[in-house]
Amino acid sequence: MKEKLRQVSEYIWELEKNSRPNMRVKAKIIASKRVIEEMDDAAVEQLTNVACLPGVIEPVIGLPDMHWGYGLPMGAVSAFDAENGIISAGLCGFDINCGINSIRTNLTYDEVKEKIKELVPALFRAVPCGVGSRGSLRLSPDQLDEVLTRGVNWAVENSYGTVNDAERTEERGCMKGADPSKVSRLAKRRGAPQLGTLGAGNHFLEIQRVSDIFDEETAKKWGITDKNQVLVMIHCGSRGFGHQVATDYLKIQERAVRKYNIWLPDRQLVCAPVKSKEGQDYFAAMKCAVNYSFTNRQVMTQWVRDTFEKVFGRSWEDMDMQTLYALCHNVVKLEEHTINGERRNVYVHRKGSTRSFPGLPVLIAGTMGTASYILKGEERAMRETFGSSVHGAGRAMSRRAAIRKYRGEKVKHGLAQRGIIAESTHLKILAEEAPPAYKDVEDVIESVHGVGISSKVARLIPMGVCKG
Amino acid sequence: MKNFEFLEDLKSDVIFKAYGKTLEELFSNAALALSSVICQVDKIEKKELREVEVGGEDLEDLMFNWLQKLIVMVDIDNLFFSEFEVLGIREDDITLKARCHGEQMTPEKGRTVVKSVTYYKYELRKTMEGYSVQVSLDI
Repeated sequence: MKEKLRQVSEYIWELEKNSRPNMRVKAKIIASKRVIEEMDDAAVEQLTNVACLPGVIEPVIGLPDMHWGYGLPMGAVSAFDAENGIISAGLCGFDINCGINSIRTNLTYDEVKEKIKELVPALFRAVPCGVGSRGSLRLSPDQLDEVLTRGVNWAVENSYGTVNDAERTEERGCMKGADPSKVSRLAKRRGAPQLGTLGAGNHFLEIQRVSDIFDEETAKKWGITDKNQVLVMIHCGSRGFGHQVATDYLKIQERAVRKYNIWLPDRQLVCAPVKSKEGQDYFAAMKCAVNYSFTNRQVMTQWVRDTFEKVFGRSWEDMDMQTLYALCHNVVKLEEHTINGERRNVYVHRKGSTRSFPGLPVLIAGTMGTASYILKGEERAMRETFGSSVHGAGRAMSRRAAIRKYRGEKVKHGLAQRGIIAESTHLKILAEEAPPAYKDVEDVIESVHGVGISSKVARLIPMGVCKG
Repeated sequence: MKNFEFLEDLKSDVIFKAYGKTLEELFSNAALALSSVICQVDKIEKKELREVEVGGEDLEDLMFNWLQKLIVMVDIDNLFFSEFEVLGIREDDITLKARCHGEQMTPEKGRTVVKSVTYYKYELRKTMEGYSVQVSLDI
């Protein structure tokens, strides 16, 4: 499929509607030539599958971090008409509101370096990581429903954060219209004991320091004033709660596809008409998972603050541990966009993609050995990508290949030599997540900055990592 | 015949193929393959028992629901499993009964979180030697 890509400008590539049968709209990929050359052909093909769905708005978008995923690639954005389109559990994926919280501090690299060997294990104890870990919160069914409907507001009222945190979270930490009655009992049973847990896989808690500031004015506005300033990043999602909501609605929407006679190029792209019960019920349940996940990361943010207080003997307010921003990477949103000069409501499906609205922060996760980025959303994203940007780098090597190639002890030692302290539930996860198993995030950032959908504000490099 | 093997197809996730001379063996081996992604099965003792019954629309659906049930049991019962006795599969009403053995989960014996079983290249088939199933996991 890649051979059919037509380069429109330095960073924009298009796939015409006739690239394969049944495409309703064009597909567009934002990437440098180098990124395109390394891109998986199967991911490009998946993008064309999305272009076949009913009510899809031109174009379906692939971002420079695009890589193969279930049904559609990670690093993709698609928008659907709010009258005649679809809402899809398949397009959102299993980890609803997998996302990032970035917390700044006024501590310097030297101050934290002195304590890093104490700090990382303390964080590892405070924030439950890995499969088999259990949270310390015990929520009653009513309390869980509060989390699902009120999101971060619940956390604020229960001393897991402040109003400032809510204000620095996408959707103010709460998507309105979440309806717990649309969520299965099973999802709630899985979710209740897991609030305040990090999970596993590529999820992490990281201590980072600023290596570069590109846009001083914006960085200052967001509280980053110096190179070597220390920040904390939390990357995780909605845990078993969100996985179960997705699993339940994949089955429901699979039936809906038959009921409404929707043709699918891939069974995994199940969906339902926007106005149908199966579509709106999913939207209301998905919002519960979004709110759960915002709250999950907020609770852990507060535990990170508590741990810093113990290790540094100062209050978190004194260390200026404010949320820089918190946002989603996997979500469906009803948004207003300008399409062919006309304002229209559309359901934007972002999978492995960050909202990139003008002036707002965009947070990009690296891996435990590579850089993360803070970007700023730009006006151009509203015209090119339905206000969206990238989410990370994506894997270059399978987990099994990484385990064969690397040894956990050596990875840990290699990181330590570079001044990065890593803690994990077991060493194999460090081999699986070894830095060379991921693609280079720098190329990805260069593409989004180059095309102008998000601009570089600051680059962060890791100094301590907790992995599940 | 191998019980199961992992394939190299997926960069971000896991795909395996499980085999069995009988359907019971196939279902047991597929569950063991899944469990070996979630935890270090060789370290898991048989201290706890869960008896389960699962249904489905056809054999593929039954397998999907069975594996999904295992993912859910890990979360809800806080158990890691290392042995699955599939007692009987009834092809007339597509149901399965099984005894799952394991122990209380601890992060030290864990491996990773499996988010879900998926339909990517999902296929259960009858072979010359018995049965095989190919399963991709989102992790």
